[in-house]
Amino acid sequence: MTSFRQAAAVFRRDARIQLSYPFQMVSQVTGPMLMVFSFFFIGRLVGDSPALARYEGGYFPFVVVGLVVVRLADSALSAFTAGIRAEQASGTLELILASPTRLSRLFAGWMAWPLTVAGVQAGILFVASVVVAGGAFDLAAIPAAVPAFVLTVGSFAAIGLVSGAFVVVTKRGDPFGPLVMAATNLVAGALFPVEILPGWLQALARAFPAFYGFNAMRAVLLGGESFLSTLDELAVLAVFDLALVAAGLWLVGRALTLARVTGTLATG
Amino acid sequence: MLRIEGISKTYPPASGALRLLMRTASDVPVVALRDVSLTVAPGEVVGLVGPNGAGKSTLFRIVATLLEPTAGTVTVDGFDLVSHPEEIRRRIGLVLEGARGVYGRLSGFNNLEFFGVMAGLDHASARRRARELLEMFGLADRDRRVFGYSSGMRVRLALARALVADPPFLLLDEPTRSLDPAGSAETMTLIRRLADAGRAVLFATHRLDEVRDGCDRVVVLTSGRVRFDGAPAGADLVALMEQTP
Repeated sequence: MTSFRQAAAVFRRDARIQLSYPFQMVSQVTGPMLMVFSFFFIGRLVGDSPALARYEGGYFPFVVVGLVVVRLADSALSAFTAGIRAEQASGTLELILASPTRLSRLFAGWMAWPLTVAGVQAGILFVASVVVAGGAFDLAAIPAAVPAFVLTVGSFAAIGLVSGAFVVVTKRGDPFGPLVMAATNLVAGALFPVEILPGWLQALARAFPAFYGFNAMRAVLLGGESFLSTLDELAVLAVFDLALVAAGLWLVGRALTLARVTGTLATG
Repeated sequence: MLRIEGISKTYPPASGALRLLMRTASDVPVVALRDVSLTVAPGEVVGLVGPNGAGKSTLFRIVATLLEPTAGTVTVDGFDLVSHPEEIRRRIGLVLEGARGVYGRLSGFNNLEFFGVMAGLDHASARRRARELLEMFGLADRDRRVFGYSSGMRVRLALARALVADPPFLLLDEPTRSLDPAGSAETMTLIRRLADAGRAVLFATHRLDEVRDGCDRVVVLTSGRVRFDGAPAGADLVALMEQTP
């Protein structure tokens, strides 16, 4: 109960701070809607590519699935490092680390507000896309896509922990976040099918958990396949998540210990 | 009882592969504290004075579990710093570097409510405690977003934050650094009241008048060593602070 209470307190605090900048909220809501129209017209330009043959509706619904996931993935990936930097800037990082709050509760709290905002943005993006694209999406299949969605976003959050460990040490220069997002867009299939890539890049795609997530979600939402047909992808995602969370928590612990020895915990 | 025994701290430089990732303040080891021992009893205000770089902030951060000592032990109510850091965190209220460490976009009430929950209170208790503390520190009628607070109000809010879970020990690192003489005197009166209620207070400052008027004992720290530990009355603090190794 305490863990939920403290994560909820961080969420409430972040919500109060962010909502005190009202114009920022307006731009956060309108941004995704404008993106929908851009990709709708790119979809018209692309037309019926053979690489998209197994998906219903052509390029636009295909890319919408990628955009929805990327919106949340980006937030999950950066939430931890953004949380550390925000606490450093307000001079509260040491005070929180000197309180009896467990790190896991703090991590959960730091992720809650950014993921909520990203969830709202992704929801707006998806609803706007359904309105624009009509019946391309199998809306009844959404519950079957949820496990792949959660595991995919979870893998980005876990990579965010690894990035956060580096930021505790390096202060600036997240070595993973930008690289992972660029690879997700380029290689893992967020914006176009990996089948159009050279063979070696297609092989590289399998090193990214998002590849399996995109495949599973598109299979049920646009390919007419059942939830059971995605179990292989879900298993791979679960293994990625477990390994990355374990590595992330271990690295964060090591980074904090190092910062406590070198006296660099609160330095910017 | 807060007991600090033989604490030493040397900041190591980043070495080997770590040098590619991080920069420490110096490329050679920096000795910040050497064999520092002192105690603070309940009801006592102990002033910690020394020139800049004497090691005061390092000592505060070690007691607050934010830094690992190179040698020595710290116990709070018998709990050891290394083996029971969470127990120590439950017992210590902290003010670091004046009035830093509050969220400017939140009201004083929301700041206290947040830090109360982080200190382990349930939400309702944290709200109740926040109201009590705003009353106690004379902020209840003027509460607004903290970026609109005066320096004196911020200091009072930082003290209130340190008290939110009613800890028996207070570590106050230069809480009066940005205050005018009247604000400083008011803060010292508050600190005295907190000690009279049974709390142990370790208080760092550069103002010797605050130490003489408001502290039961003074500890003079220079170059990481304790040069004096005793009653402030009659002690030549200026001469003590000029001592070098």
